[in-house]
Amino acid sequence: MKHIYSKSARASILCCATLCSLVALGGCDDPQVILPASLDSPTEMALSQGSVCMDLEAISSEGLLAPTMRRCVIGASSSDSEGAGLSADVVRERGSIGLITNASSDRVAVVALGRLAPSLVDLDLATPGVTHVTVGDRPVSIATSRNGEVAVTANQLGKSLSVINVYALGAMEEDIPLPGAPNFVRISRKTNQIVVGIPALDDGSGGALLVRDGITCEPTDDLPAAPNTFDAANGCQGQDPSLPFTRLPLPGTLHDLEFGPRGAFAYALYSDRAYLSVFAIDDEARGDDACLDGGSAPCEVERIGLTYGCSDGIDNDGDGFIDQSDSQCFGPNGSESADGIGRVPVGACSDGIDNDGDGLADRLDADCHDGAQSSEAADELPTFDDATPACGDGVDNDGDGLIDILDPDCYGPRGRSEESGTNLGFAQLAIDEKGLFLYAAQSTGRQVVIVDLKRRRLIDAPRSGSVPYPFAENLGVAVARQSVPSSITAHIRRVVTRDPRDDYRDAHGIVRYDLGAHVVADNGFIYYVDAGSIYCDLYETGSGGILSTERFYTDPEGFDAYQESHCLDVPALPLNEAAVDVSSCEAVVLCQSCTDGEDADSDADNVAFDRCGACQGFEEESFADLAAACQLPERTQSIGVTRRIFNPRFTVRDAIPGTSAREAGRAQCELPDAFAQNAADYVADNAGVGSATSCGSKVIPQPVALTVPTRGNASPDDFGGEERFSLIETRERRLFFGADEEDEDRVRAIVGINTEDFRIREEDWTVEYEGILPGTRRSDGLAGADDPSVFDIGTVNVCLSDVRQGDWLIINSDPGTETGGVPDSCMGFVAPDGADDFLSYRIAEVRDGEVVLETIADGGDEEFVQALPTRSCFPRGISYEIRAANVWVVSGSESGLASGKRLVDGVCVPGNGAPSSRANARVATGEVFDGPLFSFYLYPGLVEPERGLAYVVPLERNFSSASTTLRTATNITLDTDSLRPSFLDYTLSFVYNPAAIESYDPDDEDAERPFPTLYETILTVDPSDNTVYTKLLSQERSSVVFLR
Amino acid sequence: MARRSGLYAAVALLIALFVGSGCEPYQEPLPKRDRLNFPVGLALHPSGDYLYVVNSNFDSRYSPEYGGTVAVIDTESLEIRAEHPPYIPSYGGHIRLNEDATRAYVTARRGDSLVALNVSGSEDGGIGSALTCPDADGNPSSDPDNCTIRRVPDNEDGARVPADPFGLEVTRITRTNGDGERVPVDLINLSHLSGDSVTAIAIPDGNIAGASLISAPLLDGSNQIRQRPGTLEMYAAGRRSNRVTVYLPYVNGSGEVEALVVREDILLNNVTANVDARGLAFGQGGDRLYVATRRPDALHVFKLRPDDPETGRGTRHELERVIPVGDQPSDVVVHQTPDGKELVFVPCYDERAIHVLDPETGVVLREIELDESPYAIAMDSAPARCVEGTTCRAYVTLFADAADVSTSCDDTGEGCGSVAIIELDPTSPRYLQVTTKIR
Repeated sequence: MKHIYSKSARASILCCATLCSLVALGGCDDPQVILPASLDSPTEMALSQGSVCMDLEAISSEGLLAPTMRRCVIGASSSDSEGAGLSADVVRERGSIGLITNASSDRVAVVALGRLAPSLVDLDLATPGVTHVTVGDRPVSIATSRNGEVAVTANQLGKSLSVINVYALGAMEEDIPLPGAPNFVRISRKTNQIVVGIPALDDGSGGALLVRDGITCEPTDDLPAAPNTFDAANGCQGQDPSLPFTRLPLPGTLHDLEFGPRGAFAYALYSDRAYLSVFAIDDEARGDDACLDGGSAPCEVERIGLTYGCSDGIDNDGDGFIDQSDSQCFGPNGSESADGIGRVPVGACSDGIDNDGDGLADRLDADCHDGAQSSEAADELPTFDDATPACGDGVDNDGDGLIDILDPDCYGPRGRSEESGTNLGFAQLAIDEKGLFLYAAQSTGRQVVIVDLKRRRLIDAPRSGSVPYPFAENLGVAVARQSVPSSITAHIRRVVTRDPRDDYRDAHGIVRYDLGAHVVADNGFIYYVDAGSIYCDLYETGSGGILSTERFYTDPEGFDAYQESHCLDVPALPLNEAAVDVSSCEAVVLCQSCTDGEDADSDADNVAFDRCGACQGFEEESFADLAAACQLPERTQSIGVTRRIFNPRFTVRDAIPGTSAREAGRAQCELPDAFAQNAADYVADNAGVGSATSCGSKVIPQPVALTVPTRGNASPDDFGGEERFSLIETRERRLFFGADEEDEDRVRAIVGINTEDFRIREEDWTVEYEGILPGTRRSDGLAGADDPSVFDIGTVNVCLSDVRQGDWLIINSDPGTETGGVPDSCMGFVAPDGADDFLSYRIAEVRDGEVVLETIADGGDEEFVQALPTRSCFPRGISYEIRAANVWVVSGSESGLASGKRLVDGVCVPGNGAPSSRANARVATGEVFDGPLFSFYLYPGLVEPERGLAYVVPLERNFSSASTTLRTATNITLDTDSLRPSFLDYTLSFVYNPAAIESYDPDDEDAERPFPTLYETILTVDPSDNTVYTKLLSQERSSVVFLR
Repeated sequence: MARRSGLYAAVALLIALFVGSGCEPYQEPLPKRDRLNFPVGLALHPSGDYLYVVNSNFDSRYSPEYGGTVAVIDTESLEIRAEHPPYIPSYGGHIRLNEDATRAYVTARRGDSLVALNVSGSEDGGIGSALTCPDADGNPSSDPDNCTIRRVPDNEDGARVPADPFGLEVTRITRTNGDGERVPVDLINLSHLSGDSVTAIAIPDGNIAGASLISAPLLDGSNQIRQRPGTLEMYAAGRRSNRVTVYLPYVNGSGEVEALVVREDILLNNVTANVDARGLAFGQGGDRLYVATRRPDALHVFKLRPDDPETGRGTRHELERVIPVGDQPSDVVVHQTPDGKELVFVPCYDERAIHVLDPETGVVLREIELDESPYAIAMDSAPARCVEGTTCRAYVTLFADAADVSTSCDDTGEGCGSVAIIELDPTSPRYLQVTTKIR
């Protein structure tokens, strides 16, 4: 029955409703109701946000609330404008009732959510204790229908569904039996069908989704009524327990199940599969998708990998082979194709091509030891070890009864492990309100992986941020060290800034969207995984103008009809890799520091700042030339009358964004005596070049920042006090309305640049001329027994240490026999003048575990030894070190070298990050160094560098994961004694938006339009503490409300 | 009537032991051996014919040095073999048999003791029908004095067993002695409710006098230890910690334990510093670890995977699930059904129930309701035994179960525990139900 109101009546009701809502949420008289603790293993919470309303009457001074159920006032809208407000000719009212399953007490607790302080509701004040709705045995999951009038619980021990008529707040007498213990129940918003997840059917046929027709309940003449005072079956249809289920077999053990925002697709996560399944609820939703089993919907239509392509259980490249069976896969971390997701660089043995024409491609070619190697032809390759791999040794290495390639975990006969390397441990999934991204928390990887739902493809998060980080091993967003994500809720925060001009106000605005997910971790903190932001210059051409906030969140079906839908058209990720070239991006940074008119020709110092010349005329909004440098075109898109900018981030939000990582003070230098003397001599011989005594002297070669200006320095010797390094930086492009009158209709875009703190460690970086390669100063070297040119370097990993042909090997041991003394035959190894580096050799060849040495021609002045080390003269373990030759070595005290190599069967092949130019650990004098975390220019100075000249740059990390308190109003960190989200599978949280409250600005007496205010509340169901925490996210210092 | 006659027999036997021989040094009053007395740990002989139940005895009127017993129960007649239970110090904990079931090791908190009893036969029973300790003449007796290990070596300078030993794990290794002979070594690992120690005791060739001991401060209030199948790695969890410590006892070539090498600390909970872990168990293949905790009341499920997926090297412990269970879990035991499926049993003390879980799905499949508080479980569920005509059972100690008839416990008539038997035969109509109790 549809209620019709006069315009004045509607206005009155709306006015009353909005003001009442404001009062309710404003909290002036909304105390928390204290009830005896009644929750008992709460596991899930569902919201009834539709046609059922619950009035609460305070009946005592303690705030006891007497509930009365009624039908909400609902009508159709002819205007959705956020600004329409009072001029709207229809009013809406929605219920806000939370329903919580209690697994141990077999009850469903009821929460009044439409208040600033949500409260549990005692359904029968006449009965001692707190009365809830009684349902079946061990209810672990609950779902509500689109209109909120029906709730269904999945009862694990009861192996049944209980049906609650929310109008009556009572369960129907008869439960619906199930053929196994369920762990999830969901209701499709699109079809109202009930979907039950059963991980293992009693008949032993595995897990299944069961789909049956939905249940509806209409309001009856019993209303308004107190809860559970009339038969719950009154007015309901479809609850017949004998109605059939459609059974959809599951390929894995079900671990989580969620519908997308429109209820068209259900997404199933498994505990033993590295992919998720997409189920279409009906053929209309299925569209062009084919059912994987060839039938009709409801059915499984797609599987989306959640880890590396070579271990996700999917045939990613469509060649008919999956993971271990795909000849392009050499291990679990690779990808099945060049455009797949993996962490092993694609080389000649994983490109799907028979490169050497022997009729065998990739892993099928016996010359292929690793996918990343540069050739398939043996004569073009170094000699690999012939060590027998685990998958070719004839042994059941993992004890599973299967040997070598019969073991399905083997990646071909050269596979190095029979153990399963599949990355599992996915715990919970969440989908944002518009179905853009799906977030899956992975407890084992302590990360959140993100899926682009439009393209149904995993996003390689570390490589999809504004500055890709190619060195990360993980594919998701790491939440926090030593913490495990236990529950997750996705959310799009939408903020509309309207055009300040009255004529455009309703239709034109800039909308900012924050895409991300709140993650409750087991350390008691809630983190925000920031997927990115979208700025949209929106002109809504329809009659209703810009969508109201309420409609944005509550009417996903109608969204496509609005221009605003184009704003949320997220581009494919990662953005064009060619467009994120770091050097080019740095040029943007450089240009911002250049002064007008400066160019290379006038750069009198000629200290390599000539790149400023290319930036003449650069202006903030003239991105035509510079756009290609920083992926700006990919971020910006104009569709129809909308223009949107997408800033991908894919990191955890920084709690202190105003403070960035930085170089902590100026670099400390170490000047070898010989170099210091040379520099002093140079200064003495060249008047006016300045001093050579400080680390910042321009006489001395040194690393400086790319942004160091060439003029205006406070001192000619200190480079103007600039920092030496340019740390890796993110870039965010924003849109905003101009502030002044003349520009009030102007939409401007600016590029904001922030230091990327998240990747940066607290450590010292050393830049040393001919520095010692990390891990190569050892005392277990052995001179060749037969061939003195072959020097055993022990267990040095020549790939990770980046040992190269041409490097120096310097022996620090003295020659001698086992019994002491230096025989005459060994006197050639004794430095005539006691020089430390007399026993220096050049490395002619690098092998796994050994190097081939050659002596260094020295022109006859006996600077270096002219004999190769012999076992007779060096009978014991030899102390030695390996140094790079004629270049600077850059290494971090924690990070080490970014060699971009790894060792496979004794040969160096490209490693993680290798495709990036930032996989780099050496820089020549006068060149720019682009490393994993920073860039700098190695200023050549006026004196040639000498071995040992070194700079130590301490980096200070100022990153702190943003977290939210759930207890006190005064501290931004959680009180870890209160929240104990220990149950990975059962802790549940979600952002609850009770719809924006549109109301008058109480401070503006002349206000004619309502203003929107977001009241985002995060609710966390914590079964380990029998508590539900609720907190307003939009008010950082708001108090947490406990429901117990 | 049978109980009464058993009682008379026990009393007669005690009198005979005390008066007749005069060689039993222990002092009255002694606990009665024909009954259960606050049972805690239990173990089953590999034959399945005999069940050993540690009676902890919280009755202070008994001589504390002999206040506990280990009841020997015939699993066919379900009767306590009253003449065979040995005495042990009070506050006994858990019991484990060594690999060839020749020794039963029992922890007792009184006097910080490990009791090493001989598993033997008797005239009226088969192998395993008696637990004994040799007296001074080497004859089997019920006196535990010669089997109780408190110092190693047993003199004033010997290293003490640290306070409050409780949980234990027993494994068998071999070492080659100077004569080139392979010598079996029982390696007993002890947890301690007090302090922060974990202890390993090596007993070469069954010779207690040749035992060696080493303790290390690895875990606060350790409650339980389990060996990962296929390895020598020991996993210890405790009441006052939030971690599971993995260590490797190092036993030298002479069979002496020299060190406890810490491998890893596995974090159970980031928030609660004291999770009160009560039970540890491994899946059959050793690739899944279960930990039952009381803060919160939960079962933690870890999957053990290679640390390096490319090479299969190392071990990584991935927390798969944390599943809410009933109030105050006290143990966790893995049961393999005849069709090869693993089920996890968690006795929940305050819930008075056992939760049966499917570790693959995380689903609580069954709640076995008991009328008293369960403590520990022993499974008689070897696949060969879970076929028609044999027993396929779980035995559960009910710590303080009161008897309906008040004659079974002591002179005051107060009840003091029982062992419940749960049917594990899936074809039985009483599958996963309590079929009877032993008192």
